[in-house]
Amino acid sequence: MSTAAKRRLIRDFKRLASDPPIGISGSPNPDNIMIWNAVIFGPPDTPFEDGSFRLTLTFSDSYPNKPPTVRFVSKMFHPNIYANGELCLDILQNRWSPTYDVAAILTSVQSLLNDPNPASPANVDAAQLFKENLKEYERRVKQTVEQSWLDNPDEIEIEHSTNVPVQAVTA
Amino acid sequence: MSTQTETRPSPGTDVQPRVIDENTDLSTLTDQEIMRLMEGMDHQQEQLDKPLISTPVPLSVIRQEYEKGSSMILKKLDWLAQNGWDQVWRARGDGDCFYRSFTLAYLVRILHSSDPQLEANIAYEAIQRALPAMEEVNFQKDLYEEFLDPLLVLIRSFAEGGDDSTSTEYGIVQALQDPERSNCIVVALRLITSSYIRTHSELFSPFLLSPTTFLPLSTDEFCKSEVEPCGKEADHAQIMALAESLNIGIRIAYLDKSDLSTSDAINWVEFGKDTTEQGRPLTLLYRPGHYDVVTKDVLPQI
Repeated sequence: MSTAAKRRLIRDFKRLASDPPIGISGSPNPDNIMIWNAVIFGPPDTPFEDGSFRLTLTFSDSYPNKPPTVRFVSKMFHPNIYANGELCLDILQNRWSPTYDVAAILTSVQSLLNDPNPASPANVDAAQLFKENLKEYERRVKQTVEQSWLDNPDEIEIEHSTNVPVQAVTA
Repeated sequence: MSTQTETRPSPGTDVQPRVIDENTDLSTLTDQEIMRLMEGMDHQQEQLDKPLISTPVPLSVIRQEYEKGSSMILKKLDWLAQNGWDQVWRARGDGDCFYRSFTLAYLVRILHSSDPQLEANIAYEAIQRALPAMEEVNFQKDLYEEFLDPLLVLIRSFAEGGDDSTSTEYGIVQALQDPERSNCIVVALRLITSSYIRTHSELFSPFLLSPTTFLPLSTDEFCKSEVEPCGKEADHAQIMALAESLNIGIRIAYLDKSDLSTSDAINWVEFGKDTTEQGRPLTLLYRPGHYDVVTKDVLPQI
């Protein structure tokens, strides 16, 4: 494992643990620091409000020179999120900068929720409803919010880990 | 991941780009066409196999590449050769070539100055003076310090003088061929550039255009899309910002097909302070879409 990637991920974790952005949590898998589980809470006053959406971030040895692969595990209904959970977000692709850390990535994903870009749709239905029938769009989003409460972490391929103490990772 | 985020606006559709293939006469390629061809090359395996930056090759090697090409470019290359420019340090064409070329030229300039220790201290101070702008625009301190560290370590090794092994041309090339250090330095320079543009927004805003659509971008948008991400080519705004921020002259020999505008048989594009020969500016070679370093060979001091 690249020590640079590992060093940086430990730093990112310390920062996320000590100063977490509102509505965001994340931590590395206890036995593999390259795979993280995260939860994003839907921003208040949006159709996503009250949702707790799970995602995974998979880092390679070339992090932070290359972005991680980010995927929603929770079922989403959003113009820029594919059916398989992959998402369309410029900073994770052609606008990636090594200065983005895990907190910045998750914050960007969070703000994408209520600020979709219907010009580059990953989910055509969602993009169309967003443009043409906002009421129906919001109804479909709220379904996913309710579903997110039922997501059983045991069914998620990668086991969800909660709040690993910093020492456990740096030791 | 196969997803593409940005819907790239299609370039002007009134002129259909012609098809370029093995039958195309290379000497008829326009600078725009060369840039387009270069863009696609950025991430090809051929590029990835090349070193991040090379040891110097004779300028004549570059000339050979153009023997079947434009006579205007050959004329410019010959002028460079006649005026003592005899070696080229090639940067990999990965979109970071300006920043990597800058670093090499910056360090070689210190190495070959009459007082390397003094020049190293001046460079060190210049970088320190660029830090408050990074703080002002809210870059995370621990991150930019980490990205800057490899560059500061190199400069400090010059400042301390002595027989440190990095204080040679070979040592510099070796450091810049090491992906970890080299890429950190590229990020650090991108952050210095971005923070300078962000803190001098009024000066730069008329020049901040999207390279694909030529539409104006906000300062934040420009920095986020064209300066901070790795692999994004530097254009005049970025080069000017870096030159001003680090208080260094940069002159760029344009090896394109533009007509000659000076008595020199090459067009120089100059940035920052003193770009006369006495000011010892960093000298880069520009071919549409790509930067390398060009130097006059310095005989080792005995």
